[in-house]
Amino acid sequence: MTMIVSSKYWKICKISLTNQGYQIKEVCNAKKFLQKIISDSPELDSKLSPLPISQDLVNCLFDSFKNTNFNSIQESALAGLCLRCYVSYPILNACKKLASQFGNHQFTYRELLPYVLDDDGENLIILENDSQNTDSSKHFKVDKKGISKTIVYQHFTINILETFDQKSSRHLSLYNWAYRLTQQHQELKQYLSEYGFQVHSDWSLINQVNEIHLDSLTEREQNLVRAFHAIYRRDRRTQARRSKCLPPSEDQLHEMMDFLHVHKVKIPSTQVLLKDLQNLAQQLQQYDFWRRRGTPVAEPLELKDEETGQYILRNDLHSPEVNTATRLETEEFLDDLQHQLTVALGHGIQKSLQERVSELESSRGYKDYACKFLPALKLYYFHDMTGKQIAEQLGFKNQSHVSRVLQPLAVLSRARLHTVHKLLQWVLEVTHHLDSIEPSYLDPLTQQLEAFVDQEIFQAAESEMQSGKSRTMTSPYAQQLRNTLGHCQEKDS
Amino acid sequence: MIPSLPISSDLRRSMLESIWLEPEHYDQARQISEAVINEHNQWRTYLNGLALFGFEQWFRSIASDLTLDIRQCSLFQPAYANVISAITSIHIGDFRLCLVATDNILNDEVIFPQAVFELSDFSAHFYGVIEVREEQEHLIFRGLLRRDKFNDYRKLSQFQSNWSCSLPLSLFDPEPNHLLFNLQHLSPSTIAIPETALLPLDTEVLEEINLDQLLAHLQTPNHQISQHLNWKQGAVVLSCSTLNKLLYQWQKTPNAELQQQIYQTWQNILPTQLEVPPNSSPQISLMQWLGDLVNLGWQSLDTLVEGKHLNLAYRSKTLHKADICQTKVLHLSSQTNILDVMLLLAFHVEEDKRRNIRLQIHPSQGSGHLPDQIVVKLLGTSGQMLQTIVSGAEDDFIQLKRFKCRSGQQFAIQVEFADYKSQEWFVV
Repeated sequence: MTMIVSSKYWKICKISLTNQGYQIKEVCNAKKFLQKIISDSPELDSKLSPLPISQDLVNCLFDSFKNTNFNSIQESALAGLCLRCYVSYPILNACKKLASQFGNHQFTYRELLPYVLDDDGENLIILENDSQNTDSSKHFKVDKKGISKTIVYQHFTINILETFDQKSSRHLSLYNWAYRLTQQHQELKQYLSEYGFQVHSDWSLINQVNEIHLDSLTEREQNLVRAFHAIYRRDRRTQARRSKCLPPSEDQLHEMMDFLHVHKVKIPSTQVLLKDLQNLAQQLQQYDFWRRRGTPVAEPLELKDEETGQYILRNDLHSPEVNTATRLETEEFLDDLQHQLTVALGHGIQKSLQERVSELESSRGYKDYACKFLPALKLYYFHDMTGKQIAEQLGFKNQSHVSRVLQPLAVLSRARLHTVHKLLQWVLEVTHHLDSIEPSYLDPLTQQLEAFVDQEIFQAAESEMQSGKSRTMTSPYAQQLRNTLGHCQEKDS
Repeated sequence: MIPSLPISSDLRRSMLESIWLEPEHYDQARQISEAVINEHNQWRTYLNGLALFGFEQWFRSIASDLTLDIRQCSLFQPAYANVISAITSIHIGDFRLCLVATDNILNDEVIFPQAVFELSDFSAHFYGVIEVREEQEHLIFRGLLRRDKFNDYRKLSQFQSNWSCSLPLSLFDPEPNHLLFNLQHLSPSTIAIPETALLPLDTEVLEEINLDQLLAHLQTPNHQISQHLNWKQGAVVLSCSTLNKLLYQWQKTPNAELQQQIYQTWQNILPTQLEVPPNSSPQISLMQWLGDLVNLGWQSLDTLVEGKHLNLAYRSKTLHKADICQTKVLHLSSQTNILDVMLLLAFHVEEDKRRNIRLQIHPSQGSGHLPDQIVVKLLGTSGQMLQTIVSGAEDDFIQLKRFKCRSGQQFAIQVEFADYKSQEWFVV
């Protein structure tokens, strides 16, 4: 078999027991099965486009999974297994996307995975129509001898396959279908409603309601929001108030009551108004509320159907894997690149630290802390100290001051920027592309360099930083950072 | 097999680019928001302000070698900040950037005003989305869309021409670093904004509007111009800076004098009937200019500079290197005064042989201000109006948007000032 078939059909994303969140595991059964069906059907092989994900293959696997009559039970189950591997990627991506939508402070995608990434690819499973109820089907586990028995627990991957309508007029690809179902997963949505909005106060949530969202509220609620905006937002803006939004003052509530009175909404007292507003805010904590749309818009999920290529590329799901124009693939070049990476990383870290210090120096609120930045970073990287310990040691006001000054993740992100940029400049130089180049050259090149740099350095660095109390700073990034900090120390002394 | 490099990475998603806001950003944003009308616009402008100032600080920190100029951006022009919900005309070198601030991105879509895509004055090479966490005092850079990617998307999707357009967030590149790489390694010409993507301005659409009614509505602060004009009409208003300014002033403090000015400007924009048919009127041939033959009354810019030592600082800024540039003095006489201004017409020949034409009006001394209310119109072959511009009291010069003509095409330039009117026909 020519390995033009993406490994996504025979490697599954599953929950990891270590702190990485997930791992990608090879599923031998699936791999053997794929090799077999491709060698058995030359016409499929020739039809397979060089694209890693092929619609023909998905169709073929799907037919064989759904129609147990025409195939042996074993084959059906194996085809299903390949598809289960395949849909585990959109599930993972949807979780990453959801977590990133809420920002980086509340939770990471790792907390979302247990709800949806529940298939380890260990069992062979088939669907069979329920003879009494034609709309639903039962899940059967198949053993080595091909004997099946009903199972109660339903993997999310199987639910996706079961509900996927291949011939639907909506033309959703299996990938997009899996992505969408993950976003609509009930328990996941509940988790987001519970934890996703924790960072916003009730009052900030009401501030955020816009015209589109207003439509889904009752008329009375709409008036409450308008009154709140007219008075509370105005005051917040004119006082240029920073910090957490406080509950509206008695004066503000009175003014809102007057506003509401004009709009014929009668509220007996400010206490009642405050209660009403709090109830409204409770409602706004529903994840679904923010996803409502006023008018039908371009459907984000269907920007690009990976299989047919009918739509344009999505940036956030995964990048195109067809990229022959700028593949940097000679061994000699890769050796040079490795060497340049070390140089670039040193440069990137150095530059990141310098920028952070000068940013703090020019910040009105934090300039007094600029001189404490490097010492704090040393305590963090050499002595594994927590924010609280650093605050005590260096005389910060509190822990949150430390995290605002220290920002190890921002330092990392900035180091990554300058590392990639340095490498990019080097590649352009050796390939004689220093003058202006076309976007079609720059885009894939940048993506590839980023992927390389992340794989070699920053993925591990980010993981160890996010792993909480048990973190150990042993990544190449942390080592290089300690080196640089060590040099700073020598210079200081 | 050769060990190959990985293809893509999604580290950016777990490592969002977060930008802290400083107290002064809040102060500046508040000041800017005061100038626009009604709470809704003020809050939006406030968030846009926070996004702009936070972005500025971030950008200066990572790219100190690039010139970022925010002074000309729409946020500092209340008449535009009031009607365009994004920040347009942020200049970085020769690139233009447009930013839009949003509260949250849970809806998977971002709303941009149509003007930033369809009107050349507001369009950009890059469009950025910034989530403003006003309460938590920071910004998150959510995505970047390069103009060529937008053009591709537009070709594929059914696009309705409205005041605003909703774009899926997935269209945007989540990696802010790419802005820097693009700015440093691409040139603006590689991300061209195709003319076909721009909305052709048709001033006839204004005839459908009841101006009295519109002005009456706009006296109520909560009314937006977008509630009363459709996008095609709105596009004409936005493209005429004088009219847009007047309407903004009207919303702030309506008075009889303003009303008069608005009517006057409105009339000037409406399509005019052609007085002299083009074929019978004398025409100036640009072809002859290429061969150094110059028509009566016209002289080259160089001759003029030599003779009068004019302070024509604009020349290097606004004219193309290969421009053929001719000037003519117009005596704008009205009942009350006589005033000279200089009409300047420059062009260069494009690769496809079309002439790319620039037309400006300057004070005759080459410096100082133009008088208020000089109207310049560009008319097409059959006399239809293609473009117009009206001078304001503080303009040191005015110009039509660059336009292109094929060889043999005709156009006219009409200049009006009080009761003065002149019309001159050109053949390309």
